[in-house]
Amino acid sequence: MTRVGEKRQRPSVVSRFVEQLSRRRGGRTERGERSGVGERLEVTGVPREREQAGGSERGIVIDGVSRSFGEVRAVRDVTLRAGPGEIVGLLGPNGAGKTTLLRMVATLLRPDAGTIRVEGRDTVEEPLAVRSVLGYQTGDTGLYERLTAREFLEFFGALHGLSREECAERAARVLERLEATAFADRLCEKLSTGQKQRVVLARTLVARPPVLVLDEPTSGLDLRASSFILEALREAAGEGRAVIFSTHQMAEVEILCDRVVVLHEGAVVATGTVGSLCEQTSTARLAEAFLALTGAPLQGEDA
Amino acid sequence: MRPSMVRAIARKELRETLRDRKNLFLIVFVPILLYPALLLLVTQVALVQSQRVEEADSRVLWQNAEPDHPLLRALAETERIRLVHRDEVDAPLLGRAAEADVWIDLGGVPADLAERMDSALVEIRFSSVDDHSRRARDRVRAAVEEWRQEVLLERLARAELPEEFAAPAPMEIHDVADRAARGGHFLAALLPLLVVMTVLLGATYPAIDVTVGERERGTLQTLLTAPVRITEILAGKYLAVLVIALITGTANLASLALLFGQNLLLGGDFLEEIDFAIPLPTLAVLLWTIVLVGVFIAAALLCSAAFARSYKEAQTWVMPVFLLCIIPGVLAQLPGVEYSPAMALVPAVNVILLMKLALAEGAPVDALLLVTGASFAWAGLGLQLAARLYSQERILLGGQGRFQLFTSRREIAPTATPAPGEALALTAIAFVLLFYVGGVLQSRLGLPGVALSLVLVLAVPALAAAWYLRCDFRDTFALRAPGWRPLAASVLLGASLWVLLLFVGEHVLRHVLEPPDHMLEEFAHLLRRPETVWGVVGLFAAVAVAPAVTEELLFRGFLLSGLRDRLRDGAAVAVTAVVFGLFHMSVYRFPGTVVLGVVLAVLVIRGRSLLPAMVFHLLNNGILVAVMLWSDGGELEWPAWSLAVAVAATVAGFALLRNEGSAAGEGGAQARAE
Repeated sequence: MTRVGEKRQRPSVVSRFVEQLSRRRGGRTERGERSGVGERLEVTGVPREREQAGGSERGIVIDGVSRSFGEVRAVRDVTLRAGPGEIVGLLGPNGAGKTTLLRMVATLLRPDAGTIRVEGRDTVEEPLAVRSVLGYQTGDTGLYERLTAREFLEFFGALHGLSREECAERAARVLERLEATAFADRLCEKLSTGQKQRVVLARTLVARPPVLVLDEPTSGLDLRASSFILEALREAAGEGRAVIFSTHQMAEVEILCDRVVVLHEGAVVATGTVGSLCEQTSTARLAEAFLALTGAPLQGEDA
Repeated sequence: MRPSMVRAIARKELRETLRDRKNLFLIVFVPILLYPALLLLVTQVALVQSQRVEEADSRVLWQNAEPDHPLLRALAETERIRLVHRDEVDAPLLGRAAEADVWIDLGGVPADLAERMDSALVEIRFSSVDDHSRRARDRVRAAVEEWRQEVLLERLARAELPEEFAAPAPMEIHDVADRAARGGHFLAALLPLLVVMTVLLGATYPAIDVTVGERERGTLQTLLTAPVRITEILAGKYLAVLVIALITGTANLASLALLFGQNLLLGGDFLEEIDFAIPLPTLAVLLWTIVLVGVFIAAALLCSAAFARSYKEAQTWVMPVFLLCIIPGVLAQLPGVEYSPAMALVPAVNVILLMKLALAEGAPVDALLLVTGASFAWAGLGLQLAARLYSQERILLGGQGRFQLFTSRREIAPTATPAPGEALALTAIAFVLLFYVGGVLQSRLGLPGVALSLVLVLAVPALAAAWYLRCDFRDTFALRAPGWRPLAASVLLGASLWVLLLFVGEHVLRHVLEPPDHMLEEFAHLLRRPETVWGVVGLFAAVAVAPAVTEELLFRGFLLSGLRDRLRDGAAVAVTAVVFGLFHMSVYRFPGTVVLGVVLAVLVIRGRSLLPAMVFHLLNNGILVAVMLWSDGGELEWPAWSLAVAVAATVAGFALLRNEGSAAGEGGAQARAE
């Protein structure tokens, strides 16, 4: 039994990070075994009929999505999917369209063309339904500074239609799981960056949504804090959630992701496992593959 | 809308707001302590000042009399009057800093006035801008009055007449208003505006904080990814702002009530004259009016804050709400402005008048219900508008978009049309110009001034702004050749619609809104029959041609195209029509000009060209002027058939436009596809 809570006492986070990396390369099966978390936050909110409708409807399905801001084509014809239990990493240089794409998944922006379905619901036609099955983390933390972490979580629980007791219970459990109980009753403005990030992640998990969408969840965090977040994401996926997150850290992607999608100037330039990307670009490491893929300007239809 | 969501959001907002020290200061400290303390300070300073004036001796400079003149003796015996003598003074300086406060010339007053039969002039000079001089005037006047009475009695005695001879019908005046009624009257003059001000001050900061503030802190995006509707978010925020506004309003009133009740403010024997005890039912009505003020103000503030991209901008955008509430508030305070069912529908004003009514004589239930209904209706409209303004993307991407009137032209990229904000801003500028430049030109130059001001104030700014903003002139001013249908429609409508408008105006509107005579006279004076042929040409040029060209360029060109950039056609037409109506600066012409505004805008949209609107406008104004000249100011007789013809022509005109609409729609779609 591995509990997130026990890791803090371990001597070297870095060595564990590396260890995970090799373990991860070893194969997928291990993750399934180690998902027996003491406090499982089972996925809820998925209606029965959807679950029975078949695997293809579950998770995130992005199909031919484009979006422009004036003259700028931020996202061009992007197609990708993330199924239950799958972690998809979104890589791309600044301005590649990662945030715009994730905002469209989270119903904050409408696509100009194409469709996005989350757990079988269309983001444009049923935004409310999509938001109820989706935990979304924005690039900036988006914490209410004058609420405590617990109040913050309970508030979002209430917005997901949970009763007062359910809110309190779920907030307590997710705080415990993310080792945030100690500072749960402090105002958010008083928290450190790492603590804040944990509260933000807790917020995306409090309603136990089957899909997580995270925009650079580890940006600005030190190694210890970010490995904590990554471990939590792995557990979330182990419980059957579809996870899609954007990052600039190649190591994170190598450790964690089942699939990598590289965006460049709004378009998908490569997709596959870390190994297959390296193979495609005849490089040895993901960082080199990334540089090779995003080095040249895109030969688009309007270029 | 789900009440549980609204509650959750309102609770969160209140919790956050009340935890902010700055807010607590504004909500609790300022109204409960600061305002009353300031008021106290001001009244105390005023009291001390008037006490000083009261206690100072009035120095009376006298002239042209012997020192033993009986009036001088009378003055000398009066308390707080000190006589000062100077022989040769022509125009003495008066006031605290000068050598005397008041000046009295006894040159024309003989010492033996009591023994004579004639009257003599006592000349007193003072300075109205000096407190001491005014007080001295009052004292001298009283003293002279008393002396005159003595002289009169002495004369009566000499003539062996009774005292009553000089007082044939003495008067006794009694005030039937009791102390409570006087208290109500006093409060009615003071309280309503105070309530509006405190509610405004209490609501402004939270209203900005929960909208723009939340966006700036980056939490709004998070909130929008929760499964809640925008309307629920807004309603929750609205509720929170309302609660805070009500806390502030009531807290402030309570502390003021304490001040008045303890007679700390006015001092002296004021309370013997007045009783501030408000009867319970009135108090209940008053508290309810605070709610009504809050209901409206919170909605208006949320709406205006929605336009802002930043805290700083929001502080600018709430100014219109301040003006919207305070100006009518001040107006409603004026004597003679009374509650009426029509007034009950005007936001902000209605509540103030209701408060006035409640304090003065008690508010009837129907007034209470009407004002309540109107206030909630206005608030509902405001929230609807706010909900539209708070579309997801707009919040996320920040603000209302392009506004480049103050950007250097070199940095502006060419666009098809102005943005709505730019169009409205320019129209507002034109309005101000019309008010000042137009007013001067018209009063100096008459008819040519009318034409000149239209060109300078409407056409030139519109064209210049379109150039400055690098707009496409063809798109902005709809400079396209129209089809025959819209042209024919404009001719039909231009020739007929005025008949219907005049008819409705004379037979229906006149009973609701009777224009005052002086207005009709001014109008007739402006349109008096010119004596020469050139005069007639000039009249038509100023009243028909100039408006047809200039007003179309600004309203149906710049403004309409700018609004259509963002709004749906219906909304754009409605806004331009209302703005067009407002531009005519007259309540009586408002309904008619709004109808014209709608027709003109529809002509441009359906005809995809400005020309039909110009033709219509030219015909409409031209025929009206011709008819006025023809009838020479007399009443018009309408044969029934003329009305029927007009109705038929109008219907035909609209029918032509209807067909054109679908054709234009296809054409537009085609153009977009290309």
